[in-house]
Amino acid sequence: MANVNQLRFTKTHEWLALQGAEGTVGITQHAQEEISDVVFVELPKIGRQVRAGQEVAVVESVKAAFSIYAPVAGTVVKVNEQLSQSPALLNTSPYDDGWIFVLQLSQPQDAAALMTHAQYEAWLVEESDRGGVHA
Amino acid sequence: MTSTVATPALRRSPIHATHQALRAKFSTFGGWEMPLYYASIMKEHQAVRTACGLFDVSHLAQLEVAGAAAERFLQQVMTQDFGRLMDGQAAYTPMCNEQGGILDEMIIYRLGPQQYRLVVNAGNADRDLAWLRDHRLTGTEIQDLRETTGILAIQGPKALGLVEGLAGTTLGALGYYHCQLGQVCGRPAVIARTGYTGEDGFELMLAGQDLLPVWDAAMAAGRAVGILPAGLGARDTLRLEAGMPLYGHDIDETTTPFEVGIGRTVAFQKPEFIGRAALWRQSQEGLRRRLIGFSMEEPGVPRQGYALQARGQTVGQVTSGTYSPTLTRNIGLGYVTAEASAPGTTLSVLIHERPTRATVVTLPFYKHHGKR
Repeated sequence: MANVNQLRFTKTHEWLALQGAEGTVGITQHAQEEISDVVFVELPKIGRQVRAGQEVAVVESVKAAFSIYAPVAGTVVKVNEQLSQSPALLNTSPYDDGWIFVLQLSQPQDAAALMTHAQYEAWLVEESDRGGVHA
Repeated sequence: MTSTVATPALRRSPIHATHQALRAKFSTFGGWEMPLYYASIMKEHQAVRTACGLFDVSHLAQLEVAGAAAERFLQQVMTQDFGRLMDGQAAYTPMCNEQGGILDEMIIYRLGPQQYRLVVNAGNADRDLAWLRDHRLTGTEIQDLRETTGILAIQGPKALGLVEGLAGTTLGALGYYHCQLGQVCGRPAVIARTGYTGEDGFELMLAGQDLLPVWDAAMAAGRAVGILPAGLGARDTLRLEAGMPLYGHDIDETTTPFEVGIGRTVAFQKPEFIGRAALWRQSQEGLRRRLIGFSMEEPGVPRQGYALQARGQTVGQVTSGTYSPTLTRNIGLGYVTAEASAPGTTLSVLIHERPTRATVVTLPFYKHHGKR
């Protein structure tokens, strides 16, 4: 399993694993629990340029559709084709086999502005205290 | 949430704490905070199709209409024919306004010659009560039972044996859309063979304080047959597979029984009822739009509000949609123009602005093959 302490997190429940100038993006354990049984993932096109916070993919569960946002600005260089056949990987392996896409970061230093795992955990507590639950 | 507008407090089931202990995820529905799912919508759905699911549907409002004029009153405000209903029989009926629009739809159980139990949609209950009281006939009492009652639904192929055990009586002879007064776990109950899942099953109308012992007994006795507590999420995917419309999504005040495809519940043999003239006119003139079922031919999940197109023209919109766990494909309900409503018609659903191919199919999507 990916070491969550080396990941960076967004308030919209994506994680980013940075390797050089490339960042792999997926959803957190908390998000997969909220989204529940994933039945379809709409993947972005390779080569697409996105701004931080822009919708990149859509995760459909039996419950509803959930937008997946770019944690940082960049270009989509790879998508997880395995999800077309096995969308439930998002539930069973959110930090590993359930990764969604890889971004070539426009500015690799942008990742530093995202939350650490400890900060994300604290944010989750804060969010649930406010009654907000949306992934 | 930083809204300063006061929102009314959500209603909760008498066994809310039990759902919390089961770690349910909750959702707001019709002014109620009810379990959406416990562990997995998918697993709960499959439990109902193959074994048994236990639903707390206490958000459904129970009303009682009784008195010497009760039958005459229902004949006046409902579209169904209550003259033919026997004691222990139930009927599904719309309640329409003068324009033939559906104010609500419900199941009405005849408990006795002058006593009817109405089970209505949570979100419509206040409006229903006001409408019923406005049109009340002398010799009719209307009672709101919401504060003191609740409903548990036990649905699935294993429901019969399980409910027989809890009720200590045989129920095989109780027909679909029939009910009887009896006891469940020694508590008084209306035992009804009805449901909203497209599967055989029962709905148990109980006093609020009796929900907990019956819930616990059902969970304990059901363990051997694989019972799962099931939430509104599975209830929605189950009813959709069964092609059953949901008020607020597929039905509202602007839709008529004929457009929804439940014209069989409009009894024109009755000389007078609210909405009769408008509905008669529509039955003669024909429909401009219809609620249809469609099945997706390309990847994508249809959701409420998405546009439906035929040959590049917008012909309507999706009112309900989901992934169907039983059929393992994506399905939906929606309104389209009459010309685009025939089974076999190719449609496009605009999913995130992308036209995605679908085909109109005959409802229901799923029909169970057991004995009813």
